[in-house]
Amino acid sequence: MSLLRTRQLTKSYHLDEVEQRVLTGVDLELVAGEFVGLVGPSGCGKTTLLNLCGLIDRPDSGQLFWHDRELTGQTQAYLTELRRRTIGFVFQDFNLIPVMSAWDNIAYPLMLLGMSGTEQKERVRSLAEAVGIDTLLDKRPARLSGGQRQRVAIARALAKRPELIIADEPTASLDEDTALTVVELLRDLGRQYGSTVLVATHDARLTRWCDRLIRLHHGHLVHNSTTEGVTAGEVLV
Amino acid sequence: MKWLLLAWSNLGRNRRRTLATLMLTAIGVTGIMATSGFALYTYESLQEFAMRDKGHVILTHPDFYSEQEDFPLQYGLEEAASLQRTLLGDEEVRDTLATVEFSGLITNGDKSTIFLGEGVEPELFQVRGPVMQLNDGRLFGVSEDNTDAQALIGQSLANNLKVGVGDGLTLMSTTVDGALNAIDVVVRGIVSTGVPEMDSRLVMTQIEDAQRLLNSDRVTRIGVYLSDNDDADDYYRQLVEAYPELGVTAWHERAFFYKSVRNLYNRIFGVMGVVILAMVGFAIFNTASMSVMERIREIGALAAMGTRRREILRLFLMEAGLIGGLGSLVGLALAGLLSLGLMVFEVQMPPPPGQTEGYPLQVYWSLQVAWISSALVIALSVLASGFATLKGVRKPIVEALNYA
Ligand SMILES: Nc1ncnc2c1ncn2[C@@H]1O[C@H](COP(=O)(O)OP(=O)(O)OP(=O)(O)O)[C@@H](O)[C@H]1O
Ligand SMILES: [Mg+2]
Repeated sequence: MSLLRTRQLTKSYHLDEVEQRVLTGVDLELVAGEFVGLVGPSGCGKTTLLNLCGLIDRPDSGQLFWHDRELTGQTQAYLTELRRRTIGFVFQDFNLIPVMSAWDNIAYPLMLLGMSGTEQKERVRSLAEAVGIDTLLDKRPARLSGGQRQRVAIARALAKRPELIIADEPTASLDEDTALTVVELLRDLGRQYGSTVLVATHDARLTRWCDRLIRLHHGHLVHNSTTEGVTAGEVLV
Repeated sequence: MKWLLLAWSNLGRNRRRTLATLMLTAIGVTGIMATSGFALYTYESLQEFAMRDKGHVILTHPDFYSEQEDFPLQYGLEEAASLQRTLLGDEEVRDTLATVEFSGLITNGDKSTIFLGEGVEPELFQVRGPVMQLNDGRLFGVSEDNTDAQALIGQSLANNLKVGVGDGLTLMSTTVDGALNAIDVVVRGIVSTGVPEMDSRLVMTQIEDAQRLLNSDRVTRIGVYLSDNDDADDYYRQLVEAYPELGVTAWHERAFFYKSVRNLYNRIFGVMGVVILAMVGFAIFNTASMSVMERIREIGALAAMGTRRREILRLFLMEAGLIGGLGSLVGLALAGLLSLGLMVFEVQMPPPPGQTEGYPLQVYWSLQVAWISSALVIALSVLASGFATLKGVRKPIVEALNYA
């Protein structure tokens, strides 16, 4: 079942009259529950594509379908509500709210949904246990290590049991071991909650966790396969 | 509630800046409270003074204040005593005072000068309370029957004529029939009114002596004194209806000093208030601009997670509202301390223009001004913060997330 489908997405940036065509026609389909890695050389447009799929940016042309429903031309408010209910984000540099405790950071998306206090408590607790930060819940982000922060961020992204999680290089600020555990968490919990995860990464070792890998090249997807047979070398090109 | 807590936490991000803005807001509110409190105190003192001076309501001949008299007491009141008895029957009325205004020459035998006379009832000083200062001798007493005509004269007039208590003087004036008349008076007391022009001219006699000098039994005016200042307006209207044949004047119509001071202060302090509010507005604008710029990335993350623009904007408005509200509270408290302090430690103000006496500086703490000024400051804070943050909040999410 298709969760998100794109047709011929294009996106260009204009810098001093020079047009840089970043995406030239991306056809992508994400199926519910899968864990998809997006790879490609730096500057190839991974972040640009993730922003479009996360509905925080709009394409120049092409179409996006959410559950086969066309999103082109929907209002900003409509997209906001859609993100509020169904999309979670994990950012490279965490983007936690510094004045909130880990607990409140995780609970924030639930508060946006108007969830009751007891239900929030239950979810935050179980997620915190799952990502292994249940003893750190009263701490503010500044008092946590990078890995701990990203665990909080993952818990936050998962809290509302979103249909889609967008993760742009979630491990780039972490050391190798931490990066591995964090991605493993993201995949396992995504699976557990039935969330589709789209993760952009440079890190070849992470790709073996992916159900499927897609590679951006010259503005469109050139590789769309299972991870079998993809070598680290290929990923990094 | 959660949002309010979040707003509150956000105030702690940059404590120094928050505190500085809060203090500026507080000082602004204190400034507004202190200036308006001083103005209110002044208005009330002047009102009190004006009411005491001539009464809450003044009864005269209908033409007295509009026409010039051709001879003394041409526009005087007849039958004052019976009118006064009737007025005293009203329960609001504490007392009435009849006065005869007259003028002429005063002489010590060698030297003459112009005087402004007031023939007054002896209970004047009880009814009016302290409106002038007795430097020597005695004021008029109620139950004394004096055979000699006596006078209270201004200090400068006494100096000018080189007389003291017990010395004799002669008052000369024209009677109602146009004849020249004179009476001898003994100086009973020497007074200061606080107004130099008055002190060099003032002569007060008993009302009968003034009437004898002018050869008339009319009076210039009757001042009606009420028990409660708050009744003044109602009672004035009542008298206007009851005495259509008389001139009925409310206290403030003749309180020229009160009116001009009030006009002047309203303008001065009004401008000051606007300046203070503008300063508070800009301070909040500045703080809000800085804090929104520092938090652009966070705003991007909040928006990506599905926070609505207006929720984000509301968060910043709440922060500004909290600063404005807390600042107001602190400001009101400071203003309260100031007015208490001024009650305990008296600070003397210099004499106002045209006066010789200073007066104690006091600042009223007015609940009404407190409400208005806090409401203004909070509204202004929210408005200024709205202006400052709107642009940042409207930034496209991707741009906000990449903001360095
Ligand atoms: N806001 C922007 N304005 C102008 N050009 C941009 C903007 N954002 C991205 N680009 C350009 O578009 C291209 C793709 O950028 P993007 O961030 O999508 O790449 P990426 O694949 O995520 O790179 P990386 O792996 O380094 O994160 C880059 O060449 C970049 O210079
Ligand atoms: Mg990128």
